[in-house]
Amino acid sequence: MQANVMRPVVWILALSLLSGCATFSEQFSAVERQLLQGKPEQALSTLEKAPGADRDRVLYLLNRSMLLRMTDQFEASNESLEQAKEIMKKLAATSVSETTGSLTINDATRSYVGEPFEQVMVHLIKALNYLEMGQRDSARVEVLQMDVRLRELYQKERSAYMEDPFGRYLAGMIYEELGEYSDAMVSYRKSFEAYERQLKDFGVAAPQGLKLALVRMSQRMGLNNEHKDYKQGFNIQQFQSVAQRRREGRLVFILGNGLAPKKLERTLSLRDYRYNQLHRVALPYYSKRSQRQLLGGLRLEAAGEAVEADLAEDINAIARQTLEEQMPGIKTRALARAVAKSAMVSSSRRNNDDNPWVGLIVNIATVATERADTRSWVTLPSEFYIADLGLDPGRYDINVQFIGRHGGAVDAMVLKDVEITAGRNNYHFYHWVSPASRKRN
Amino acid sequence: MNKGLTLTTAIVALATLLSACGPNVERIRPDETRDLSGMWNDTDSRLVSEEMINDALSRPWLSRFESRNGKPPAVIVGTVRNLSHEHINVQTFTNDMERALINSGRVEFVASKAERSEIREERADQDVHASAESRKAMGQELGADFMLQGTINTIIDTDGKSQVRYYQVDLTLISLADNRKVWVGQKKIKKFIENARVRY
Repeated sequence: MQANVMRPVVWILALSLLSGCATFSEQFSAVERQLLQGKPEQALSTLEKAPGADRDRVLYLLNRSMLLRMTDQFEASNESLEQAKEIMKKLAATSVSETTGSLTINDATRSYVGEPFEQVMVHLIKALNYLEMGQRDSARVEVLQMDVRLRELYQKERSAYMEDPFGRYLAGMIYEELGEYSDAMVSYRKSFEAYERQLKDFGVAAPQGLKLALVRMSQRMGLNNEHKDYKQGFNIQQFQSVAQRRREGRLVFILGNGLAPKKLERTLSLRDYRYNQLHRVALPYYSKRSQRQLLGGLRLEAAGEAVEADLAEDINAIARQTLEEQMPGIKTRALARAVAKSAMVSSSRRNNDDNPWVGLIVNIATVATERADTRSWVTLPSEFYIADLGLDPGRYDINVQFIGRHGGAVDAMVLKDVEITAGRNNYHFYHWVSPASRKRN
Repeated sequence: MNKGLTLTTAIVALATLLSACGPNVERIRPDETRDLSGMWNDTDSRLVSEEMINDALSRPWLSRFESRNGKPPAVIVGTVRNLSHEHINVQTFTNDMERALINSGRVEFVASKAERSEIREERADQDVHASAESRKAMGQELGADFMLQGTINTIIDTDGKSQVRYYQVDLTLISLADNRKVWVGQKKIKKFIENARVRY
């Protein structure tokens, strides 16, 4: 009799416990809010105050690196990324205890190693940081490491994301600037093939700059048939040769647009009246972000020359596709957990016939710990755009126009007194998080 | 009796746990080889620089220069470019080479570009502030006869769990007078690395 009165109380207790073990994305919301309000410094200090568990170390370092580069601390950002890279390498081995944990408690008990695309992005962001600091050889090192990583992916993964066309494109640009034309040609080619192959999954076509690069570089390498095919295929009549292009310098503007999608948790709770047990299954899904926050493009203008940016990579689409591909495995593990947890409750009941509370408490614990793994590198941009503007050597004020999702400029900024040197690329990577986040200058 | 045993066991267990907490530091000799990750490390840097410089000093360009000019050649270390897959500290590598070259006593050594500019500043400062007898005149620098340049390259083959890392260091000694290459050195290192498949 008394037990029946107490039961609702215990369930209320269970619910309050549930809210206590929040998922990653719930804990991260404060950082995200400050970022969307245009306060990366505050977001950084909020993040650094709560670095989270050891198993989430990689995630902490990745997010920290993005916030550091938003506050112009490129070297610290790279240190953070390098640490993340080292931990990822150590965690590559399969863990016995963590696999057991993911089959009995939940998926988030595993150490976070990053999705394949996130592991590639580590190299890409690091390379961009180096380029922004003018360290081209170091950026080249990252590009080489990215190549190794992508080769490993190609051998291991059966996924829509086995190549990174934007990463390859950037690699080609770095090689070309350093005068390593055969490497540049190979990278441009791989990039183009990947854009073609991934078009139906991620919806990003090869940027115009890449098409011009293929035409130019195939000519330079004396690949006459390939050169002709590219020219016809892309319908390009006029283009600059490698030599002509080297007389100019370039401003390469890379725009990080918005934030990567956020995983949330979807739960299914079932009360089994026959055995008087509560079951719960929690699965992750990507939430929809408001498109209004995002830009639709970008325009660079200097000395009467203007160029529009092209979409180069859709992280949002890659992330969603990756999760979809992982879903069967996630569901299987969730099911295995449900069975294991139910067995745990039954056996604790059997062994404690005289004390019904034990079974109830075990049931509460199994339900409370059933949380989805919602961890992801949220501070990555949702999309990358790229624009490059060729200019004669000299100093320029460069006008950057941010274009909204429905066309029309929504904001602008000026890069003041930028030095353009012949044969050199001057890289700028700007991360637009929201309209409020734009730095006024 | 039994209780006492349990207690002892508990204390021993606790002590083991505690000792595992603090960092364990062990001093090792700088020339001791200890490979941790399989990446380019201090041993590689030292071995490569020593061997290559020894090779450079045993080649005919040196005696030829000495017999023609009656003095040892002046050498400067130019850039050694890191074209490898790793962020290698090229500075320690070039320093190792410089040291091996200078200490051989067979060549004279000229300060690098960055070092020179600081010295020139000091000389300009002396011009104004130092006494006439201690003042060092400008335009008396020793010009280098040869410049040492090079690259560090890698080839990596991997299947995700194991890796073959192949390093190749190429150095060239170029005559500043006429761009002649008087010596080309090459050193290769190959490492096989197998990563753990399972962890706790």
